[in-house]
Amino acid sequence: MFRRTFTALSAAVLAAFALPAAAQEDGPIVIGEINHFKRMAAFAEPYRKGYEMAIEEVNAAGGIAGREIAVIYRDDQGEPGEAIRIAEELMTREGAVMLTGSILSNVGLAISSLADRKGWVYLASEPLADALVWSEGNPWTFRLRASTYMQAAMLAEEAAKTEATRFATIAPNYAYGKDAVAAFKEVLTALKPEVEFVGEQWPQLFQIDAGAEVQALERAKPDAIYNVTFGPDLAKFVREGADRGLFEDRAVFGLLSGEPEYLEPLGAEAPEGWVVTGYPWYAFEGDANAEFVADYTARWEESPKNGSLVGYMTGLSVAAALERAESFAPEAIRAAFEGLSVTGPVGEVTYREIDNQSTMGAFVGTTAVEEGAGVMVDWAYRDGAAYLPEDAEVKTRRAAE
Amino acid sequence: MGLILAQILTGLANAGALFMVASGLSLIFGVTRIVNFAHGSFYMLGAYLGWSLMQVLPGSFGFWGAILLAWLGVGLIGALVEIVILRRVYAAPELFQLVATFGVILIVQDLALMIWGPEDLLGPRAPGLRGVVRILGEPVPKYDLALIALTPLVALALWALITRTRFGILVRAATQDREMVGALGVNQRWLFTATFALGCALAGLGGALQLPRGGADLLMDFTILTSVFVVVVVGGMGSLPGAYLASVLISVVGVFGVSYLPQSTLALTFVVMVAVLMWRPFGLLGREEVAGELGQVGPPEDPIAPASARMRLLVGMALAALAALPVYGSPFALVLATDIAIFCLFAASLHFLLGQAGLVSFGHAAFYGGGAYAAALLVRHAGAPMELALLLAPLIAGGLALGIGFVALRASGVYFAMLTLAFAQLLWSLVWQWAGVTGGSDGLIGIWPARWADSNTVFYLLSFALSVGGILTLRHAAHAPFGYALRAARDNAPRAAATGFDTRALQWAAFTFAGAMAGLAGGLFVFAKGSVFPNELEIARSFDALIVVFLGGVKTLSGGWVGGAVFEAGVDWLTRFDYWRLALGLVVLFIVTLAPQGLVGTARALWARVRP
Amino acid sequence: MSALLEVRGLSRHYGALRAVDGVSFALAPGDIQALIGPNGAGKSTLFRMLMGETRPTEGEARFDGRRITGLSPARIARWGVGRTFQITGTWASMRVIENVQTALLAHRRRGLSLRGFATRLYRAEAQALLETVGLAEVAERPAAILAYGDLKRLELAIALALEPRLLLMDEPTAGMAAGERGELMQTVTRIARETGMTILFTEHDMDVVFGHAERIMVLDRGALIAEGAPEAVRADPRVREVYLGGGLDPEALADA
Repeated sequence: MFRRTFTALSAAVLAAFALPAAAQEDGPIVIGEINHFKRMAAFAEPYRKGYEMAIEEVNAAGGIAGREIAVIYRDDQGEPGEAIRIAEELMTREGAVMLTGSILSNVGLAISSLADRKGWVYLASEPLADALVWSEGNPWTFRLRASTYMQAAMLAEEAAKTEATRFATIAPNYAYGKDAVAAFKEVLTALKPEVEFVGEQWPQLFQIDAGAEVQALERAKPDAIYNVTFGPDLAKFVREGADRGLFEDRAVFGLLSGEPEYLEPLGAEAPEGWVVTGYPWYAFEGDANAEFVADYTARWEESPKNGSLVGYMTGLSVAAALERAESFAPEAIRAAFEGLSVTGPVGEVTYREIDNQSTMGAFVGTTAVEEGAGVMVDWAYRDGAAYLPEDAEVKTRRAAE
Repeated sequence: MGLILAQILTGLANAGALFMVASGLSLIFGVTRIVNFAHGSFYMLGAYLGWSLMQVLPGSFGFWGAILLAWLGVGLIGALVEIVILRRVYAAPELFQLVATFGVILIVQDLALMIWGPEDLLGPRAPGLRGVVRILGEPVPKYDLALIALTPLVALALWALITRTRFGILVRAATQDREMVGALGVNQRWLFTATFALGCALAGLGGALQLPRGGADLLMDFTILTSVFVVVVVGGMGSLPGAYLASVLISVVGVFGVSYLPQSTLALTFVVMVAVLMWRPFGLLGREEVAGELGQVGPPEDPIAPASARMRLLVGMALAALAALPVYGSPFALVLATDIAIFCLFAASLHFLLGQAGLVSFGHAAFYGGGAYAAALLVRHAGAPMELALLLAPLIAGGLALGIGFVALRASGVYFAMLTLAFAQLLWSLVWQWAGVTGGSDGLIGIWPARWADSNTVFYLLSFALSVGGILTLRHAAHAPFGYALRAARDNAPRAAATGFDTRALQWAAFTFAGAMAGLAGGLFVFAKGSVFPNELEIARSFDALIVVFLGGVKTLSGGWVGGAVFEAGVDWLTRFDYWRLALGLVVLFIVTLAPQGLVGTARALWARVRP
Repeated sequence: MSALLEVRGLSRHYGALRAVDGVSFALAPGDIQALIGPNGAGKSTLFRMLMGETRPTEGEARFDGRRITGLSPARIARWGVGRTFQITGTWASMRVIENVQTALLAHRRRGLSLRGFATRLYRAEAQALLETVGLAEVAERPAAILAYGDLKRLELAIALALEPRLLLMDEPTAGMAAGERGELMQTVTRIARETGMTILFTEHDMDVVFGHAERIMVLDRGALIAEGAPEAVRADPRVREVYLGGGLDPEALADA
């Protein structure tokens, strides 16, 4: 028995392992994309569609140096350990020239650590953790989307303009929630020193006890509430809060709450009057944003999400870096990313040399319900460059380098 | 005063869905002894089915009708699962069925994604129950009051069913003594089917009823599972009043925790669970006999014997071939083989615990993740070199097992399993919460092998040597006096005690030994990946190990690592496909129904049949 | 000569039920004593208390002058008290000889040892014990496939491997064929006489009791009602009353 299984297994192992690894010089340029396509399908699917669309456009326009770009999409189950293995496979066996992807910060951090170790370029497209470019930042990791700090700073700026001084916060009990609250506090306190924080709630991610959280927030008697919950937690929080009158006569600031991923499922029960970051795809007229929305809707027969925009920008960034790079060797691509400017639907975005963070911004607006759906009104695009700390401060935060 | 009352009402309303799901799980376990990991999936199905029905059925009648239909529908799906899958594996060693339920989880996840799409669905409101009423000035949602009224009604109906009907008498008889029911000439098959269907229907009802307080999403199957396990164990396995009491207790404590200790949300329920179980090892209203002996039902395994000289030669050759992988394998092959070797050691350590000591742990990730974090923390905070970290990881994990084992071994059977789960969760929440030291959910990164072991080749050889060494050590322990003493305590504990074996000390030693080996695997994992996150302490990790041990075969010596290798390689291959969870679920069910003794056990049985 | 086992006022109450109620007796080294009584008289409860498996409500037991009440079964076993169970206890996943080898491991306190292969340890000794109980032929078979009578003998070999000074046997011949019973008891009593081992056993088969016990105690509803030589017990009117009332065939007592 022992021997049989062993020999059978060894044979299987041999068959699976001995496949040759070869990057072809005249085939397409391979990019390895790692994401949680199953575990976070609602976010990863629009992202992938935006990414694919960008790559299709680039290839239709002749590709890069006469070669097409091919993206290999791989599912990591939302596990950092799996992502590491897939990264190795993409780079050493599939001949990928660089890596992109991830939504979850922990997976992003794991890949970035590997990228640093191996000297591979990693574009962290969606994960928000500040650590990716600051405390754990490294020369090989670039990040596209506006970080937790940047988006929180945008809301803090809005919050400082209001009369509210007593703030309560509610954020999921993990790194993203904690970073989001810390950044909001830091920026708001700097802008308006008299604010006080009278309550902090930390529900467990995706296991919120919304009724109890609302009662606890009410008990703190704040003037304003800063919300970081999202997904099913947000739906429950909004519902309980609205029913129990938590949001009456209170300013509410919601991080990401205006992104279609989170706002759309709420339908007519979407909160009204919240100041949020998000993506008002329905409201663009006559600009590059509107064009992207039209193209996307035509290509996929569905409306874009925030992830679609990020995916599209990822594709454009990859193409721009490859175009700029002198060769497709990792070091050349890395050098190309530094200071790289990419023009997309939201305008020009630059990958800063100081910390590899892109200046892609976010849309800030106020929520309203129109025709039974939550939307953002009075919105404006805020350029990310304006919401990053001073260079000297960035340098201390990126001390590890 | 008003606030406190309102908080209690919130807790009572929260208890509703929890009670329904937990009572179903408890009922199923009581009668069939199946620990239904897929119970959360039925809860999720209830929510999705209810949601769809509410879209087409109008008004008040439609809303409650949809809930009733969701209840029935999930019950039917449950009956189908029982008849098509579980019925084929009752004869298998106990708890093997949980592998089948794991397959069901995967299939339901992908099917729900296919049918209902990836986006969260907002639950429709209950007609006429929107808004709040003021009680002592505090707003209380009307639907909460409806749930508070409805839950005891469901509980009473269940109680009447269990105490007043023939079906109920059989259920109770089966809960107390399964063989007696067989002896009474009852058709046990249909009793099992009916119970399983009823339990699933209750989960579906819970899922549909919570729609107005939230909605349906694809993660809800796992998010409710841990709370439900906690409720069932705190209340007492098989006890319906216990399940009600525990769901109220856990929910109300949770609500006050949110208000007065907002950071406590992660750990509180598990603290309550450990406290209750230390005070009453079989839960609030549970009884010892229902706790059951796990893992050792069915015919005993064949006696083991040390490998013959010929076998040793063959194994040595196979190991040499694997050690030579760097010569003929691709760089990625080395990475995959490293991962497989590490996972095999982890699986083998749990297999030792299950197979030799008969102890089923649902929280083995505590030691795997514990070893991983021990190594990572030593490197990050103490600047320890890899060699020292790898040496200390198993020692620290073993120390952890020593401590947890001391408490958990006060209980036995499924209560022991649940206590290990609770401790693993406690550790997980500690790591998650204590971000200053552990990095919280952002983990610890940048922990790479020492320079000499930096290349994939050297690190593969190191992992391979340590993993194979660990597996061989575990294997030798089974042949050593320790293994015989453990099996004596497992086969017949009173006989072992009357022979002078301190059975608890033996189990404690086995738990520590297995924990240390898992810790070694965890330590290797950190250096293979360069980082560690709380994922390595999650329930999912414990379940992975449990599943592969059963897939490999509990009552064999090689089941652990064979299952580990097949599973890890299989998952790596399957995740290349779009609906890989569906495929993996089907493969698991296929193996479960065709090879109920596990891969190794079944291969051995086939070999015995064809051998001249 | 001082008593090897001394029991004083041992009681076990379950609520109002007095399963064992103030039992006192003593065994001298080398005694072969039977404990009889109708079903539910408390024999097994008394055994479990002696072995540390059940905690007494009151009273104590002393073995060789040392108090054993409150100790764990394993401690009591190591002090030299062997035990066989009413429902036979063997280790089904091992070979017959390995059962005995494992008991020898326990006796040598090697349960936690990782050194060597257990199946190669103490083989000769184990084989000798199997010969004593008449199982030498089946030594290499899995214990799981033994016939019931053979399991009883195997359990005896396991108990003997500890070289106990006191052997407690709970219905040692239950379920055996009539011929086997006498054979087994002869083996036990012969060993007892050779080694000076003391024996206390319960038994329903009166042939076995009156054929092998030197002294007999009678337990009824938790209390000892008679103790003495077989003839005296047989003649005791209260014993006859108990057995008639208990529904046991009075002939069994008369014929024995």
